[in-house]
Amino acid sequence: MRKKRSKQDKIYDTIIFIILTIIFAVVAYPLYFIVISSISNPEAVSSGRVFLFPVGLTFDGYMEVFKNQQVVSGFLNSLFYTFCGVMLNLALTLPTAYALSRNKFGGKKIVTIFYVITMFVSGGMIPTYLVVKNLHLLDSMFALILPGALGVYNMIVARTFFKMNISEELYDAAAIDGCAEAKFFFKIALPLSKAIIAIMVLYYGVGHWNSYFSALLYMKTETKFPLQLVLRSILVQNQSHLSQTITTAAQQEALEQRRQLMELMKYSLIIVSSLPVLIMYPLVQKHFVKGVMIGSIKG
Amino acid sequence: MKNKKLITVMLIIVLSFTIISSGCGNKASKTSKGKQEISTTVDENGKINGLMYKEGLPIVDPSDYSFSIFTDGTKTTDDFYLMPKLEEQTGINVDVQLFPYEVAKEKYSLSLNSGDYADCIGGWILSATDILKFGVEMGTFLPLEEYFEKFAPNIQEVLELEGVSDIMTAPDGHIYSIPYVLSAPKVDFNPYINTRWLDNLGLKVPTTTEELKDVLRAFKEKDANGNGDPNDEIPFSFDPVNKNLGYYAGWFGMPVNDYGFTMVGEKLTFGANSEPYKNMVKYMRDLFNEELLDPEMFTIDQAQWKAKGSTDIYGVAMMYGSGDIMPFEAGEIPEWVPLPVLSSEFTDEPLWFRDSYGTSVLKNQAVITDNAENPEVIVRWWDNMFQLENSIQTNGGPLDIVVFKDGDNYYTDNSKLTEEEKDKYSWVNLYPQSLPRYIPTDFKFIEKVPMFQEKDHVDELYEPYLMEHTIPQYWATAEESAKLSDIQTAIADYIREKTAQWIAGQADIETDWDNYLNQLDKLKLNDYIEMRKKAINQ
Repeated sequence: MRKKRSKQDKIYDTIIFIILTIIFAVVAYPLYFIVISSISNPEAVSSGRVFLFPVGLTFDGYMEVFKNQQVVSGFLNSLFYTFCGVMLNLALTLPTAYALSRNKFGGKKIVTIFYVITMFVSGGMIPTYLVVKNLHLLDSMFALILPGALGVYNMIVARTFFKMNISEELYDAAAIDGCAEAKFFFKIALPLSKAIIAIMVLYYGVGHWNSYFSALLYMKTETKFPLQLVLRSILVQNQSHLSQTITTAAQQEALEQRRQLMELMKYSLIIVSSLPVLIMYPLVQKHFVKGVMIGSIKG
Repeated sequence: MKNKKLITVMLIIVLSFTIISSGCGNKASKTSKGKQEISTTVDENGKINGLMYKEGLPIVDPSDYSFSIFTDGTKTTDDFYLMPKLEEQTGINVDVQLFPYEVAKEKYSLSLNSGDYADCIGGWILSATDILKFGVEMGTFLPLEEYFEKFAPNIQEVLELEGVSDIMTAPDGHIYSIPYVLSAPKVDFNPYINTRWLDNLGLKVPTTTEELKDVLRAFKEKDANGNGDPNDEIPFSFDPVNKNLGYYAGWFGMPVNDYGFTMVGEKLTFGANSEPYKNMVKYMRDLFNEELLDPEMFTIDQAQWKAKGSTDIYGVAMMYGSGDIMPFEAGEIPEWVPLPVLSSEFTDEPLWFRDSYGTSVLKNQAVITDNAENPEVIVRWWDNMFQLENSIQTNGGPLDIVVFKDGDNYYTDNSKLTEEEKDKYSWVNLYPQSLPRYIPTDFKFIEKVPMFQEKDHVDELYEPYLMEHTIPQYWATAEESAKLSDIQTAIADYIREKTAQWIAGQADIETDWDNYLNQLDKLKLNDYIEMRKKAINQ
């Protein structure tokens, strides 16, 4: 039997409910708008007639997106970069973080300082480019996976997590049973750290998925472009330059067609490109609350 | 015990650092090329430097030479149609590194700073400032005029056209880039009036500012577009990106561009603080007050403006051509005619802004870098590009497929193509459209369906009213152009903002005017005018 709520409680509840609803609408509407715009007639969208419901229902935008060879290959490339990138990130970040979380590890402080320095001081764009160039990584897929394979910030979060959750006593107990360091890490520490692994996957994964700048700098071959770069080249077309040199009707028509195609594809592209991230979030979210909080308390 | 460990770790770190740093060998720095004599000696095989034929085609024996061009642009096919054709002609293989403009811009500055740049760089990413920096100062871009003289008759011919070589020549007397000359409308933007609306209401095309007011009132009050609703018309609208309100000051005696500049005779003059400009603002303010102007003119974006325009609610529109707002159907006779240059009670000589003399010369569209071996071969490749039949294919399409020869004339016909072929031979897939070529300005494809017919008509109609001279191009060093663009941005923004406020009635121009002049002075208007004049005279 629920306790009857008083009048004040009800008013209070209602106000809270209204405020939260407004906040939710403010956050959710842009997303909803993009969804309905992607299945509306682009003319209607740009003239501002699309507000609550799709106008002139059409799936042409999606048809174009999936017909577009560049988008498809970009999507596959992005999946590849994200998957391989995350695997490598984990392979480097977790052992490093674990090692630095153990008190017995000599020189822990110095090594940590070395790592932390790189957080605040970086070479900058051109020196980094030169490094990548001299390693002969330009225009190879490794250029998007190797540089930055270990994120120091993430490593510190993971280290703190290990410190808090995998106690020295646990290792001592295992050692008495004849367990070696490596075995302890793989058999005991990692299975106990599912939360932090999930978070690392999310952080690194979203990072890889959304990154375009390093691809912009290092890649030359179109077939190796990640999706974000393909998107930029479709959506951020600078047509004003082209129109300066137009002299015939055929050219005008070609340009106009491209513009209309872009308008048509705009919103469906945005959806297709953010879908994986949107799907990923809820899956990892439950670990999120637990893991990051724990990682944030200084041990 | 603890100390021992620490020392070990320290040692390891120090050691690993030495190993890493010794691994990076010092690259021999590039020897700067001094002034090289350009050899024209022909050996027994008829080649210069054992590589290039001095005249005729091919330029080199097949697969003897290749070079790279880095440029901006987009294409939808794997390869440009024209590139393999040009390779057949010349024997030269060209590696086109093409990126969308934004990407190209980043890569371009990065590559120049890291020494890893292509043999030839072209497109909209180059600026005059770059040519001063990387050409005049650093020698990264090569001076080309001697190569042109010795090997490139076609390019030479273009340079000798009136005014071209003056524009192309950098302040140090060298020419660093391949000229790109193309025909351009003399008037870039002007208002058009909808003839069907006029006919519907039985009105004539206005010739004075007062008559225009009356026509606009009629558009507003009556059902001008004939859809049964007398209230959906917007009498006068502007392309939001190219409003060019300053041009309208020409109706009152002095047209100015968005930066406030104009030419009076041969003199560069600042005119956004003049009486004609003030009169223009007052006139526009009155129109706005009477709701004759588009109420969204300062807020709408271009896509929305186009979408609105296609619903037939504009009576007069400031735009490039009617193709901007009508769904463009080649061959349709547009219902729009250019609004003539109107006279007003303030001046006997109404004027309009001249954007060009009928050609435009792009002076930084392709350069050759010091990474190129045998630049003379690249110059000859460009020279071959300038052949009429090569150049018109970049614009019209492949010869004998889309472009056909008929006596001395060429006409285009793509009616027999399949959809797939249409895409393959679409304009963007023929050739990197950001790169130079040369089509004589009097050359015209005989088009069954000319585009922007009203555009040609504008130049004719406006010619008597255009300013005598165009604002000249100028060279500015990186330092000057940074300073110039700072002041220019501040001043242009201020002019635009104030003009919008006055017209929309948020501020009163009469009480505000002196204040406005003072503020312009504070923004260093005088320095700015001096700098602009100096940049021209260099």
